[in-house]
Amino acid sequence: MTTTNKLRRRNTLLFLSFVLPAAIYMVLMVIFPIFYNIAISFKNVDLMNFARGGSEFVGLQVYKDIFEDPILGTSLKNTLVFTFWCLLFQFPIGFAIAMLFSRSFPGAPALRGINFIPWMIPMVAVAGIFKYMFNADIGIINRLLTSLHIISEPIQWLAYGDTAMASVVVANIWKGVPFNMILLATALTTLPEDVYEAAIIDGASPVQRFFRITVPLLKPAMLSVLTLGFIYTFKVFDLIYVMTGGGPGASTEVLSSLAYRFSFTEYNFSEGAAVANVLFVLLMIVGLFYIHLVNKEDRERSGK
Amino acid sequence: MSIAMKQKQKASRVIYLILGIAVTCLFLFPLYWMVSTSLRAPGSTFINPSFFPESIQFTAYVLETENGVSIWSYFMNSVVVSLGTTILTTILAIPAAYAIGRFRNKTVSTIIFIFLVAQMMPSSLILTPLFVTFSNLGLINNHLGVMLADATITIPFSVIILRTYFKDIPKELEEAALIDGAGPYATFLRIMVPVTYPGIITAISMSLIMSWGDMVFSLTLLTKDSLRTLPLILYKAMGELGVRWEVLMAYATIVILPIIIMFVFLQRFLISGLTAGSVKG
Repeated sequence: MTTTNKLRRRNTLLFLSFVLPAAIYMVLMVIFPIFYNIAISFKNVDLMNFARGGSEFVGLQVYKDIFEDPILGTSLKNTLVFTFWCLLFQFPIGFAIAMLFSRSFPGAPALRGINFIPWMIPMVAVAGIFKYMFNADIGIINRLLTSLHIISEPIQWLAYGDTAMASVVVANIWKGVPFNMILLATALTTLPEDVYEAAIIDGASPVQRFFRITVPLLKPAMLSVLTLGFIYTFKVFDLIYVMTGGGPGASTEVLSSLAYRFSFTEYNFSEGAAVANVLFVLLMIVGLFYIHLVNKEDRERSGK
Repeated sequence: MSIAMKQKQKASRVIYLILGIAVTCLFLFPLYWMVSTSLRAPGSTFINPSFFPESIQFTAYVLETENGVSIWSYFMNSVVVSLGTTILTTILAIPAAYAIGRFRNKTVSTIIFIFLVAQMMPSSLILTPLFVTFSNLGLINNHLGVMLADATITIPFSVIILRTYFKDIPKELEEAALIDGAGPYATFLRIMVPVTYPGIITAISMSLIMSWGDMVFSLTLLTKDSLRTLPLILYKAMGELGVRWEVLMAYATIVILPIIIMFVFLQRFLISGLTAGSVKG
């Protein structure tokens, strides 16, 4: 009995020695700031008192202020609209490209790899490239649309709310498609071939095979791609900040850019912290579902 | 298989190949457009740039920024920040991932939960507290501050990737080393770490890419121009240079180039990094 206890204690110490450095880092750099952020949102921290102290506890006043400010509702609506359109396009496009590149033809793996590149490109560069392409005067998109006679006058893409939103959505889709494509292509390669052969013998059409076999078998991967896609899109910051700065007006302002503006343009740190907390709570609703998926997979893997 | 069927299959392969190349050209067109714009003569982008540049010039790549500094000195700042972040990440994430991948106790699931939450957390959540704390600690305008902040993204990501690699190592391998008389730390360093090298390369390259591309922490924590990183300079230049698109696209190319080079050599590891970092189903 004492030897097992001793062994167990030795094991615990060993475990701690491996995990403690990272754990201390996480406590100092992530957990403490999360709680500190909550504390800031219940005080009145601004440029005058953030360094020297002297801010006061104001209870729920900051939350009352931001919920009364129509900009919060506008930003929430924009965040949802942005996320909705991005997922609506990037998922089917990524799926279609994944289907294409999971066929066996010469060069398929290489082409699939090359199409992965946009996902790795820093958001600020993506924003720069698309701001150039959507430029009203010399942008390639206006030129293409005029030469195809789809539009007669150049569109001032970033000068109007709806077209500015469309522009940031397109840029984000470009970065998001490879992510959907690679995850779905990987899942497609694991599908059992004999099921398809049996379906072909039974006379199932390609459309039937897709909806009756591919979609049901791919459901876990699709769920994971959509949840992660939602999380990454919902918290987007760099792209919007660089391409439109949240404008024109507040037409592309999302929750993370609003939090940044409150804290670092208006130096109202408490309001910035409060908006960031609202964003985090909303993200965690979907986030907890994702964590549930991860835990489920963990259990299935160890069950094998 | 009949000859007719084989021919049909061959034809469909050719069609797929043509389709695949067409999709790739269309999808990667923005990158072509960026590079081809960056190679144009100064001022030539005021008028509609042609599909192919008339002459190739590297003027935009050697131009100094508004502050009279070469773009390549900001490149070096980015190198310092991303290398520092990656070293910090590697040192902290590998042992932690090993611990939560191999040990079984009550705290493991809590620790995994914290890393998963951290992976999903928006940067803006910790931005205000970090700015306030770092101001008091003198870590504003300090590359160390940016490294510590960037690691809030790279450490959770690396731990989550690496734990699956450590988890998949057969128990016998570890036990054999322990029976041979190797201590637990020697086993970890000489057996476990070398065996998981594909995961470690993946974690290192993902950390390099993520910290290389960070803008929000540099934007908030670096106000001194000489310390700024490349993504931040690209952003600032977009406001200052306005329509000098050949220069802006040269900056964008310089930001992207190291990533393309890494991709050429480490494609396999980078793709598995994405798939290992999420639920495969």
